[in-house]
Amino acid sequence: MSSDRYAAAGARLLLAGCALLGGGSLAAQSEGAVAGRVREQGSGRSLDAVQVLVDERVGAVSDTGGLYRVRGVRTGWHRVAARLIGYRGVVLDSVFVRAGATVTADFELEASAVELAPLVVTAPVDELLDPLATSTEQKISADDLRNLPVSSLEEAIALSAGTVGQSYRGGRIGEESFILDGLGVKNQLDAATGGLGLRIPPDLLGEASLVTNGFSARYGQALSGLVNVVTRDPGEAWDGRAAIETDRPFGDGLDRGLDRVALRAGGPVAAGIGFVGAIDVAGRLDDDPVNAPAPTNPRDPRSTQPDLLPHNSGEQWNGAAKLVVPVTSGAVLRVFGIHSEDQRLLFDPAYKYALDFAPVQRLRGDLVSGHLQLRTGPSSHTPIIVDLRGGRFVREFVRGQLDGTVDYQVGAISGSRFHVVGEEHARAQSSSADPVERFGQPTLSDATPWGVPAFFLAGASRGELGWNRFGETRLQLDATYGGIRRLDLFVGGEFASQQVRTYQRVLGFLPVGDSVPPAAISTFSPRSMAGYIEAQTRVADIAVTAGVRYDQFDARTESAAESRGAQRKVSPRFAVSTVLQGATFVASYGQFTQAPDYQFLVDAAFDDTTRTGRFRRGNPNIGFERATQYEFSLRIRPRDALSVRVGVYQKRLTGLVASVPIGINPDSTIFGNADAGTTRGLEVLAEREMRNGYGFRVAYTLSQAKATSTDAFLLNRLIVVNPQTGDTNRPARAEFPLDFDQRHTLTALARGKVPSNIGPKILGVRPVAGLEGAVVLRLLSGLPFSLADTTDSLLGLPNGSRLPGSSTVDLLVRRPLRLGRTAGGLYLDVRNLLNRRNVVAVRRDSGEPQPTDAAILRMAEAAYATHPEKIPFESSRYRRSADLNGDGYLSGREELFPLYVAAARDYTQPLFAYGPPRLVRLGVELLF
Amino acid sequence: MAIASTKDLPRAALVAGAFLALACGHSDPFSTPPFGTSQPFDPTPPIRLTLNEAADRGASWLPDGSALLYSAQQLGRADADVCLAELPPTGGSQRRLSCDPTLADAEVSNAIESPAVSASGSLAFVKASSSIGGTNPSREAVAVAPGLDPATASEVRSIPYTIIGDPTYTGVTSLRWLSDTRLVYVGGRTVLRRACPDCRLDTLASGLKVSILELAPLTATPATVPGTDFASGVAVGSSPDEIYYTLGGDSRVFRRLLSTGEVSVVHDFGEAGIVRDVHVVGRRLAATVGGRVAFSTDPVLGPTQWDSGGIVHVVDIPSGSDIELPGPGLFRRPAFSPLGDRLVAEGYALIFSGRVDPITSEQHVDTTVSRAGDLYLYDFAAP
Repeated sequence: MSSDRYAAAGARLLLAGCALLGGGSLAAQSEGAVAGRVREQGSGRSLDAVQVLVDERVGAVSDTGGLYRVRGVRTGWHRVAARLIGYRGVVLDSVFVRAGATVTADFELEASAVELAPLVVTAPVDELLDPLATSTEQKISADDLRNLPVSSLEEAIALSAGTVGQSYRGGRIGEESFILDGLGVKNQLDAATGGLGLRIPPDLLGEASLVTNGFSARYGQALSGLVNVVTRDPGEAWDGRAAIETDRPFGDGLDRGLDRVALRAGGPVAAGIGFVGAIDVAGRLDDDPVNAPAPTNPRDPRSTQPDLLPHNSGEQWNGAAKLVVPVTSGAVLRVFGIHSEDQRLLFDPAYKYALDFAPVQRLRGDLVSGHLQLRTGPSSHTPIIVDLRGGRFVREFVRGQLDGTVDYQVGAISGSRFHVVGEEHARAQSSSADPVERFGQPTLSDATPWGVPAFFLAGASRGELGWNRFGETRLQLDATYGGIRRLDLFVGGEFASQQVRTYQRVLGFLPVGDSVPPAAISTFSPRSMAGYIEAQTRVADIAVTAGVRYDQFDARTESAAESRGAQRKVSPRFAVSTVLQGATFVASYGQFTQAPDYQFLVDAAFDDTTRTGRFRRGNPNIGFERATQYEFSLRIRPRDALSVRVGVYQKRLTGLVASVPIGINPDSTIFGNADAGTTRGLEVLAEREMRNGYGFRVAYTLSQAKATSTDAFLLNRLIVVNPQTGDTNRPARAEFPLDFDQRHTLTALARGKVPSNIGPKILGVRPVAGLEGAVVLRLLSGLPFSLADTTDSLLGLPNGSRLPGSSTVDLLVRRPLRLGRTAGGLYLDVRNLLNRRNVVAVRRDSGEPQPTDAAILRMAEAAYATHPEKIPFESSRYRRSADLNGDGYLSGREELFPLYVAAARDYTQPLFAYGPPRLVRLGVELLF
Repeated sequence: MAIASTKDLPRAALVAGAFLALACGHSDPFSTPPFGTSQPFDPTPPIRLTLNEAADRGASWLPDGSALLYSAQQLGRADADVCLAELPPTGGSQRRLSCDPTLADAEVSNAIESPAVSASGSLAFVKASSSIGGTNPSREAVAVAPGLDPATASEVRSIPYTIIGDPTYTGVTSLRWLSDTRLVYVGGRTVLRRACPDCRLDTLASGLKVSILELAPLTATPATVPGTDFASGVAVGSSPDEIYYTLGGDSRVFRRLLSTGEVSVVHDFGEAGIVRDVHVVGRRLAATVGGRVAFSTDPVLGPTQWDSGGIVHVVDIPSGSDIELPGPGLFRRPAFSPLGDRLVAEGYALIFSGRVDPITSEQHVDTTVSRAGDLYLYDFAAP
């Protein structure tokens, strides 16, 4: 097929796509471009007909203005060359192409009457100042993942400026979009409260980036940012990596029960087909370790082993594989599949002494995707690249009481899937009002050190059963047209057909009745579409990007009468950048939309201990959540290898989902687009590239994030009952700090490497030589929280108080080793090196992790008043040590009340108010 | 994998060390030690097993003697359930306390009475329930569970029931396993009475006949044993064909072979008084004798035995030797362990209350018997 025929075919595909598809969030690209101008050395005359080669293959031919552009270049390092008969060729051997970015590489060719070897330039192309890069993008490479003290993509992204965990620029969880190899993947069901369900094995990662500013019109379904992940392609020869990590050797205090195995292998198979696959299996006996102080009461079993929490293990299985099939010289098919399982036992303080009844959860995600790329030849006058992507994503979540027991095989790895009691009932979405089969009613535990019937439960679970399943089939078409001089045109669209099934039941051991809400069940099949068009041009040192995006979704709930039909929104995006005396300045404006989590379209029943109630009415008419962002950024290179980026932004959020009161009953609420807020901030990033054995990066963020409601489950207007008059007041809408409003964030990262020929020799070996190290320092100001009185009525404004600041130092030290022909290494990864006890949450009533003594006494008094009866000797609640008069009874306040106080103190131990302790892992890896 | 040179040895050792480290075991999270004990509060004989201020009664042993079951009323519960408790054979802490057999039972007061475990491990008991605070059971039945969990039980005979020619049976006491498929018990009447206008409401149980209930196949109507009118206790002998029983107002213990109907007197306590609550293991027989017991004709109920407890006697059947077991207060329902080396019985304290006659100013001492019993253990094997 000729290039023209490809162009025609591509155009037809493009037209068909535009006709059929409205579009949706387009996936970020997994490829970038190389562009520039070719001039004659000395005269500066533009040279046309120059062949520009990327990795020895002709990618483009310069036009009469000397301009060229090579599109669809996979992310990574490339060798870019320019050649023309009568000129000495030039080779740039270190051009790093990032996903979605255009690297500028200009050439000056020297006229030569004789054929000379090409001039090889090894200095990397500086992309920092490229004005065509208008997005604020922070990159994580595969090397970063391996060399930094991080073990997952999420942890690596969290090193970026403007992130607080998985919140970006103060937004709520789930306001970002996840782009995997160009295909958008999102948990549209409950992104605000649940995870994606997919974990890319880090060994399969090629590059990842966090984009937080006015990103391209290609991308939607996000308000805060997008996480773009590009997986690695198979290499030209078989290679791989095997690694084992554990913390077994470190013993008590540092042994958290970690075991992890990671394997990757890939290479050519046959007929140009390449394969790469990876498996990552990890288990930890305490998967949510906390740095909480040990209890002071020696009768508390945790006092002697405060480091590990029981029934808190986690197990993750992640496997992924990719097949790359060259269909023709201009078409490549990529098929990718990933399977992730994350199952956990959850420590519940109420079940501290009856662990079998504490909750468990399982999250499973599967994705199969395909990508077909068609491109015209390098000399085509109508260069077109068409990317057709399709994917099927299924995510399933279940939570409840474990059915059976866990049979651990290695450490915390069981190798078998957890099931919960009543799972079949939930899958069948039974609407029965009867108690769920095999559910029992919990009783007050008698197996505590305190004996008294208070606080701690046993005998049965709380009766919670939750299950949901989200499926999505997505088709996506993107086209890049470069036939117009100085202008690149991007157009595309997507269509997603989704399936939502949910089941939630609380107090499942009781029949549905006045005090027990019915199971919240939903089944519906939304559809979403999107389309975009965007143009990018560069005139001299000014680059302009402008685009517009159309989004549409239709919940298509079961009852058509409930829904008003499809929601639609058009979002313009604009960015202009220019180079000013060694600096690149970018100004951008964008409107962004995302469909709300579908969980807000259906009723939510939840057992909430706060006064916000246990029920929210779903709203099938919820519309898009929206954001409008302005941003200015400046990128400069004050010295060689040193770069500085400064950005300021303001984002106005509207239509965020919140709970809207109906009447004055705080339990009568419905989800609605009622929340509005503003985030603004300043981000400064200074980076010294790794040269001469060291490098560093410092990121500082000053931000403010406010909204009229801090959480979708909270009322957007806080109803206040006047204690004097009893009147119900509904205050005016005011903005309060959002939950992730972290004012100051400083992340400093330093890396170094000891040359391989220095250091003392011990037994013929230089143990220090070749050592690689990385240290990460985080300084974070406190997050907001709401202070309440003893009745849980707010004192002051919501989120009006602040947690104390926190800090961590993480360290990774790696010693490369070579055994015979096999390379490998040992590494030691230490998190929270200084074992700082960071407070991550506090009680609303005390403002401290622990309750006040008065609160403890109140709890004890209430429990004692409920059960003041004598406890005889033969009772399993009898504790001889508390029988002060030795009469065989625990009786009276003198003997019983101290037990109730001790039980209250035990129950309210602020375990999860503290962040992780020092965590250590020792790794051994082999590269082959 | 080859080691290139001796220089690589330390590295190899390092790697080997790392792999060896992987062989270490992980630390364990904290666990909670058991808080119970298998020692009684006070080992002085007779050993007081329970100190519950509410009623503990109906003790029986597991077939292997590893534990004993009994009914324990719970004052701390709003529904005041009578629960099934399990104790170690030498006393100590309850191993198990089963209260509401089913979820629906959480809203009512439940009682698990007369527990008995068969040789194959099935549990039989009398199950009763009423509204919380109610006085009459709204539902009562004989129930059988395949194991020791009463929640898994199914009802095999509802109560009350009628047998043609007999008064209505409104109560079941002395429930025992005759074999793995047959239950024997004293079918009787249970009524609520006040001994005096100001007295507390009390439960009066009086036997009618020894009855046998076939479980396989389940028969709707129990069979009554002839000659057991006004029975006051029944025990199973060395074979399923042999039962021992006592009758109201009688001092004799009878033995009957069910296959032939042959009846003989095993022991006569004579002047010691009325015998009831018989239990037999091997050559040993235990029963409650004398004490505060009366057999008379009630104008409403007819012949009725009023029983507040007596003295536990242990008889060697072949020789007829009889010993009285000492103890505080009065006792009821003795039960031998399977080997006959231990005996548990309900003990009822005597309550002495003083009163001054308002006319004569004389002091009177009144003696009553506690209605809430505790369990006592006699350990014949102990030194």
